[in-house]
Amino acid sequence: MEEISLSDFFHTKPQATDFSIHLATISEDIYHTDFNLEKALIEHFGIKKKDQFISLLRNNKINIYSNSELKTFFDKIQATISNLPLLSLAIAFEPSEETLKALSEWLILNIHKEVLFDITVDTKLIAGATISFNGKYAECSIKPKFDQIFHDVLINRSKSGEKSISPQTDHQSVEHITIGR
Amino acid sequence: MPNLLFQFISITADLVIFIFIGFYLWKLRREENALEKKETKADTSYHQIVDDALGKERKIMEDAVSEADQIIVNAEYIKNSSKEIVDKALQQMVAHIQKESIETASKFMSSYSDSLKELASTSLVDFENVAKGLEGDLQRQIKEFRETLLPDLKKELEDYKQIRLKQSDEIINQVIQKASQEVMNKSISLEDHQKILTDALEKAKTEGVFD
Repeated sequence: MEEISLSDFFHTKPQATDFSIHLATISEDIYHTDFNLEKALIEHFGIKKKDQFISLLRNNKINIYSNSELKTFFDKIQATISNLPLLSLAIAFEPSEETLKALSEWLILNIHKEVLFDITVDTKLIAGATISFNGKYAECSIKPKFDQIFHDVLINRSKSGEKSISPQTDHQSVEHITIGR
Repeated sequence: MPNLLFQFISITADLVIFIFIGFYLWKLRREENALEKKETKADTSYHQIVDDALGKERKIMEDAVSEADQIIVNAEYIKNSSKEIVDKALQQMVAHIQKESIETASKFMSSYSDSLKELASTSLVDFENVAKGLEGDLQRQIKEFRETLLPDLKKELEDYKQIRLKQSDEIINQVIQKASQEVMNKSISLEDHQKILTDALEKAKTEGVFD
């Protein structure tokens, strides 16, 4: 089955779910007498994505006036979406759309796969990411290194502190306490 | 002749009747006069009695008024006399009570002052005794405290101090760590974040995560 590139339309799992719902709605309306594809695409995705979707149809040689071809293609897209692998990423900042696009392009370029991102933002990571894909896990954030340095510093500090500060164990003498005049 | 007799008899009878009637009327008149006399006498007697009674009543009333006046005068006199006597007695009582009160108060003050002096003297002595006893007890307790409780207390205090210091260190470290992470996270620019993220993906690729 020929691959359909959907990276122009979504990058994350919630975006893919939303896209899938809208596409299903359009697909249900295909056989209505007053169905207008471009109008439906604009209503559901906006002008920019409508153009991209028309380009996608054209690239896949789909006759936009053939309802049956459209229906078949929409079903194919839904199947592609449901088969996209999930890449769980915990990162230290809120990613912009450009960042997600860059990540998606990097993955297509380097591992030749289109994936759905499941993004979690965790500022404790400081930078980098923890990556989970197909049951494999990689800790690629700065946090472990930072924790190691931090604890090394703490141990050194506590050692030097123990040498310099010895707790006072003597208490106030009570020998001179008297009562009365 | 018989008529003459008859006439004589009739005239005699008439005369007798007239005499009888005249006698009867005379007697009736006489009784009437006697009755009038009696009535006059009785009326005179009645008026006499009434006048006597009124005179006696007036006399009694005058005597009563005179007696009452006399009683009132006597009563006024007795009242005035009694008032003077009572006032005098009261004045004497007040003076007596005042004198007695002053004497009693003076005695009480003197007694109270003596009691106070005695009590103060006794209390001071007692207090000194108690204070001495208390001081001895306290010294003994302090000695016992230093010998028995103080070492344990020192050890517990030291342990507690160490635990608290450790807890404080942990909290401080957590705060420093979190703050450092936040500061470092914020100090890295978006471009650097993206670059480090790409490096992370490269590293994951190298480790075979995407195979």
